[in-house]
Amino acid sequence: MILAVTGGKGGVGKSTVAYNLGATLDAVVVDGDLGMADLPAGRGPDLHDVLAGRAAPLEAVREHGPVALLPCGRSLAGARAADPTRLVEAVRTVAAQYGQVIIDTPAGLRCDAGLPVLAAEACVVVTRPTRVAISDGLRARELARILDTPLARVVVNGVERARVEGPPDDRTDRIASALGGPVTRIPESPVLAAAQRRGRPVGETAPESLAAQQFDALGRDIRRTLTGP
Amino acid sequence: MATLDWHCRHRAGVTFVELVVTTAVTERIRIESELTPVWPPRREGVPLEGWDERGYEGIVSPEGRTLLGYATPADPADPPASLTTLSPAPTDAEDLTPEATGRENLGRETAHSSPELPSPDAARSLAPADLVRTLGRAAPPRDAVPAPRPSDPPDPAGIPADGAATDPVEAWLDTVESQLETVEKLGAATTTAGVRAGVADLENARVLPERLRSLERELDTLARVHRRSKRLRDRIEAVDVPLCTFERTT
Repeated sequence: MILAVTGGKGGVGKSTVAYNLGATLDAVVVDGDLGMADLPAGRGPDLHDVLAGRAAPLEAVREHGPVALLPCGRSLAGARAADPTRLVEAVRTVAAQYGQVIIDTPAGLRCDAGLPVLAAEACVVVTRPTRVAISDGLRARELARILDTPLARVVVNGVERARVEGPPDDRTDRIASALGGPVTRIPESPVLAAAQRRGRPVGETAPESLAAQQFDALGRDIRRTLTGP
Repeated sequence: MATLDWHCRHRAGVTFVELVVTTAVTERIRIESELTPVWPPRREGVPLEGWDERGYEGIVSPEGRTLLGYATPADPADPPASLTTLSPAPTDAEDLTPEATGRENLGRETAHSSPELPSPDAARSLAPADLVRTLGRAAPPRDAVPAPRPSDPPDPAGIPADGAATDPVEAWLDTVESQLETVEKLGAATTTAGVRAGVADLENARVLPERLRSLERELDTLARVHRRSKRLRDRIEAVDVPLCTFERTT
């Protein structure tokens, strides 16, 4: 299974969702967007090396952390030397070996946003309950629609805890309708933020928290959507 | 049978080859360049559809003429390329999009424009290269990246370390700065917790005296580098070579 986690520009929590979904689904997370650049990744080839043909995709997968990670490239020179068209084959190679791959996909409409969506079997659009984030989410949704990549789930991040604990409300319905997919809400959560800062999945640091439970549910719903009844 | 006309221009060491293909029937053709290497027309860094390292292949139709162009560092030749008909009129299943007929290869806007989404029909059979052409590359501009110095020895593993600067001077300055930061943090601590955190950064309190001595040695090196940089800067600013005169005489 190859999933592209897409959505708006900085702050919606796309990388947090990609990372935690990677933990829940036992997937390799490919960091296509510098989102996990703070995580200790050790020495070795990264995505730029793979895209420039200097390293095989499987050589760049780091398994030592709680979530297997293919880290992003971090240099301007590396970004120029990388051939973006190699991403599709690279991701398929990793998926063939590991089973599940999640790609943390940059925002926008350039090829670095389009290629992960093209490579993926389905996408997850991450947004927040704000006008700007939803409008960015709509653009990501449109790109996926044009590239014929189905939407597996909409994740609304930073929702007030009380709303997440309660039943789906009007606002959730409106977002689901606008983006054209079922919604999972993730609460505004200091525990989640602390876990992400430490580079651990919240399911490991606070498994009883509401955020961890929502990620578990997200993983189950996505599996059900993609593998069928 | 399609016919080929051509025109070559040679400018600044590059030959620009303009080809005109005329045909009475729709057919698939192959153009092989006699001049190598071929520098094909590109969009967003990706060669346009139909082009490869030896020439072009595509469908031409009797409506109008098909214009194709490429460049090469080789000197002009007469003819610069040869044309072969591969097959007659294509069947209905053949791709007759403008990309394949080559009609749009010249005159297409090459300056970067804002990315446009492909139409859903076009997107269904997209190859990654097509997507790069349509949506645009996300790479930083050429002048944002310093050109590699020819004297740099290649990294033996061919793989730069994660997060490390590729410039050795930058790498050295980064190391000095990070050593300094740990010492400064310790010096600024005013609480027991702060001191403990500072010592934890050092990994081991016993290394502190050695760290201080190392920073003193760096002080000397930094002073020498500073004086030499200043001399080089002054010399660069004093360079006065009349470029136009040289261009005219060579």
